[in-house]
Amino acid sequence: MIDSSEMLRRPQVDWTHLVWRRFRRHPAALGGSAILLFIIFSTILVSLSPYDAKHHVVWDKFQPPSPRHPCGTDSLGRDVLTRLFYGGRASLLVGFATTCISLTIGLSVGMLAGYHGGLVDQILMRATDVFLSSPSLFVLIVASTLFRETHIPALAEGQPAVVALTIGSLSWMTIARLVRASALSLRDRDFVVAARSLGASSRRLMTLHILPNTLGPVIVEATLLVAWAILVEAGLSYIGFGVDPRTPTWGNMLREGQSYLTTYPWLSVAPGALIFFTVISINYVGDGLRDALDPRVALGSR
Amino acid sequence: MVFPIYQDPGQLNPYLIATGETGLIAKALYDGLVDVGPDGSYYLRLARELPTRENGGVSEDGLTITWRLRDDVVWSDGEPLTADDVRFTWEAVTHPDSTAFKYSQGWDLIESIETPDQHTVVVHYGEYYYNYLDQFIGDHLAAILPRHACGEPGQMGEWACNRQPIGTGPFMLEEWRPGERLTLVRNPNYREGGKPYLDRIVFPIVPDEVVRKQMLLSGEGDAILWLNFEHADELEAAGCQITPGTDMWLLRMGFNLTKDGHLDVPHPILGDKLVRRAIQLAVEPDLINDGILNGRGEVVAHELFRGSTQCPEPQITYSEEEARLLLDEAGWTDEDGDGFRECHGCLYAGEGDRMRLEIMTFADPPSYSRMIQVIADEMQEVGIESRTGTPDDILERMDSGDYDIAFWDDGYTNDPLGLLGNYYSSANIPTNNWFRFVSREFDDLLAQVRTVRDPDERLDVYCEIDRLLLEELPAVWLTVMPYPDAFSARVQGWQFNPNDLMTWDVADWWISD
Amino acid sequence: MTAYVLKRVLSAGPVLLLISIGVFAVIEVAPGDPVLRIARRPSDVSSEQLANLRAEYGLDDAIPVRYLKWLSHAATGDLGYSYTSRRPVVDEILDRLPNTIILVGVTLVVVVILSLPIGMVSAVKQYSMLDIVLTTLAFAGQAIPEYWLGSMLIWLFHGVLASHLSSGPLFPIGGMCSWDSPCNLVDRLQHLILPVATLAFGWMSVYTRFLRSSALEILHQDYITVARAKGLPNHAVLLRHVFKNAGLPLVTLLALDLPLILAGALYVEIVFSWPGVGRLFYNAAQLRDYPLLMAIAMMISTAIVLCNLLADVGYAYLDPRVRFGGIQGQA
Repeated sequence: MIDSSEMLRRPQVDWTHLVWRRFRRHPAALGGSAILLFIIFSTILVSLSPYDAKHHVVWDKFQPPSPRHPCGTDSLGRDVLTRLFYGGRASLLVGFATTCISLTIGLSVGMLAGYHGGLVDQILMRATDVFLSSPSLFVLIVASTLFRETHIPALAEGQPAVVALTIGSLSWMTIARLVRASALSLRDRDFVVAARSLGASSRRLMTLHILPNTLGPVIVEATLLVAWAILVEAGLSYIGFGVDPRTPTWGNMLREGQSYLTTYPWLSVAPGALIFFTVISINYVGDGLRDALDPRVALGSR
Repeated sequence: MVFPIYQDPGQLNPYLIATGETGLIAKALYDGLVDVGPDGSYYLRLARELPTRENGGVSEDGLTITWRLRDDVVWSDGEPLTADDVRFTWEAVTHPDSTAFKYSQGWDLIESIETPDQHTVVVHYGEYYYNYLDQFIGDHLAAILPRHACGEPGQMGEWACNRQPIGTGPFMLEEWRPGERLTLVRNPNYREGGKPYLDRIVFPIVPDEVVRKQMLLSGEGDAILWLNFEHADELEAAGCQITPGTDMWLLRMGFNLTKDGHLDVPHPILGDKLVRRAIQLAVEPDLINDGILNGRGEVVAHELFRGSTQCPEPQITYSEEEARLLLDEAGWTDEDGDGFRECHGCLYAGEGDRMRLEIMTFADPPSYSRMIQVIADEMQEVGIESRTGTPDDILERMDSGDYDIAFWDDGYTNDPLGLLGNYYSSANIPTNNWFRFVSREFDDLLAQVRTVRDPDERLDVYCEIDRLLLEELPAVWLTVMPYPDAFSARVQGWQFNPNDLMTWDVADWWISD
Repeated sequence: MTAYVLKRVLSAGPVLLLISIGVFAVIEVAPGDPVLRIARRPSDVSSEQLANLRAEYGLDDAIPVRYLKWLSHAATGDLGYSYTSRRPVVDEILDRLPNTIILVGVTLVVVVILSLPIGMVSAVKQYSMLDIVLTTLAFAGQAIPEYWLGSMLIWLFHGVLASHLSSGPLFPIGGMCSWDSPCNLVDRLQHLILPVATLAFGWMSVYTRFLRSSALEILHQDYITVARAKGLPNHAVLLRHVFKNAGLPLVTLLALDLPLILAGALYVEIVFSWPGVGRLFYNAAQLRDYPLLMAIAMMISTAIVLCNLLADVGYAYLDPRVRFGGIQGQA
């Protein structure tokens, strides 16, 4: 006897393989992945740096780039390169955490709305509309102060996780819509009807059957969301409404460098360049994924 | 002349808004009766002479001050200045419905003002107020306002003259594009003929300090108020003129003497005076001055060091060794070898409690956060675990008592009475006595100093207060925060006045080409 | 059709109401007392003054009460007075709104004018060197944060190149107009160069890519092949069919992206000292000027809702299923 769920699951193993093969044909996406991995590894390995992110030697401040300090030193004599990659930890963390939160909310909302339809759908879609119509950056600016000083025992104030929560709670809408559209079209398809008639519960239907088939565009969207979240966090920190300055992030470093733009430009060039390379890499990866995952793109046309 | 400023003043009534920009521009629009010059002495503006006992300006009992005004002063709309305008200013500032900044302590002490003739103002104080000369200037932000152009005294918030000022100063407002720029033009009715030399001053709103600096470097701008001292070297090298800047802003570490703001529960760590003294000895101000301030500050370790009350500089030998000894004596020792102390026999904390403090400051200017990093380092050196932070709600936390150490700058221009009362009087807890400092002796001395008639005796009492503060250490005073002003190379005729805003002599400025 | 339009218009109201509640809650609950931030020196304000100010601003009431008061006033058009300047909020906004509109407007014009040809050329010459360069630039443009780009431009023209120019910087970086010389059109345009370039670069990247892919789709359609087979010259094909069909959705995209463009404009306004609504909001946020924050947030929300409404109605108009009744079209 063939287990029906196994039958439904089997094609996906080949599917992953297929996706990877198609992804491999994109030089830009591969290049982007390489850069991204390099950056990620650097942020992990930065603990090996001879300098401490917080160690300041005030007399060494504002040194231009040199062999000793490849990116120079900042206003307190801290090595910029080291701080850059410690900052990378926080910035990347915010990017990924935000996406996770957005995915969680977006998938739930979209799935529930698409699957159940009717009143649930109406209510959830109204809620989505409300969030979509709000001026996100402006609300973020004000909301950041709200969360920054909230004394959550497990997290210190102003930590990247809190900022991620703030941004994530305002960026799930596109995913929700995508998932809803997928769920709507899939719920009446044969294999779902079949599973339901076999007695599968709603939750099982949603997670095991419908969800995997909506993943394509959602993955692409989530990838791009990471890049977007990094940009948003950097922007908020740049104007002073992001992560608390105690924790370095790329945006914070940009802010610190702002006053010295014309006198000590490396303080602004370095973090900005890193944001740029990270985001463009993620975008290329996302682009590659989009082509790799899109069932409509014929294999020969690209 | 182009004078870029950081933010839009919002209103030009110095009693309503107390930003530096309001003061800067109001100084060119309005006058007080007298003002304080570079050498600390008073000079005349709208008054014809300084009231003294000899000329009958000050009564025998000192409670009645008679001001005689110049009779040739005309408002910028052509109306003559009269004594009634001075009376009006008093009415408006002290009106219960007005939310005016009072600056001077004396406003509430005035019982009545009479105007026997157009140019004589008789001020009756209910209590002796020695600072009567400062009455109508109050910290370089006050002004005489015209009754005929403003409105009802009780409605100061809604006056037309807040945005369309009519004043007696050398300039008047020509145009105001909110958020973008203000333009002043010469006041044709100015009392000093031939002045001001400048036709027009434009104040663009340029929040970015880099852009303001660029404007001066490129010749597009001519002056900057409270320049970030870090740019001073660059501007000087380019030929700009940098003033030393007022030395009134004193950087201080304020201690919360209580636990969470409860007056009867001393702070577990900072409640002990020995600990505070140890912190004072551990943090050497020279480090901040040389390391962060580029030597542009001035090490001043006590509150009353300038203006009319210059008390002797305390002799403090900063020494980490000494600080460590004091902490040991206070019962804070490091038994577990982690480099930080715990309470073993200390005064107010529990046995074994960690010695951990948080130093907080304002996020702006950024040099503050750097300074507290250095301070935290110094404290860590002597075994106090220190964290730093720039919380958004710092003011609220200081108000509610939810803090350990706060760091900011403040000071007085000429007379410290207001500042001392605000900060250290037990009647002003929690605003502005954030330290929750309660000292009967202080309150008594402060009350006493107000009644002393002889200036020399008064100085003695003030220095007594200074010594008391140094003894009790509700705060540690470090260095003066430099706020230099900048002029481009072509601005001439200005003179540096440490006791006033840079536009105090704007009538004398001219541009050379 | 009209039923659909009515339904959409009616649903806009509750959406705005919910947004107003949400934004109000966030603004007011966030820590920070506006009254304490009035004075530069902490010791300028006495406690009784603080109390007076709090009472005057109505800060002693509970938050729901304050919201209801705000709502009832807003319904009559009274959006309150700014805490910092004590002027009516509407005046403060109207003073600066034209500046933001100029900035965003000029940017949009530049974006449309430049994206169309670039996107089309890229599509027509697909995979050529030119296409690759343009596409890479487009990717780069989407990855560069506009605040960093602005700063770098300032550094470039005023830090690096400034020393090479004898009479002042080439591209002004402060404000809308020169300060001491007359504010004529040329001067204004000069001051627009850098801010618009910064804002437009990112958006052009997005739209060039969109136009490229949309033009590509059209180019591979059958009716294009038919048109070519009919003997139409290439440029006519391009202009008449591709241009029109690719360009029209662009306009609707612009309308839908409006909130994001305004967000970008906020950063540009801050970096270049542009006296617009974005910077007004930023200052207000620092000082916790609640009435101003609410008013600006609601104004932008309303703009977003209106734009979405127009876009939806536009689509519905074009979609015959909705136009002629029957199934209620779903966006």
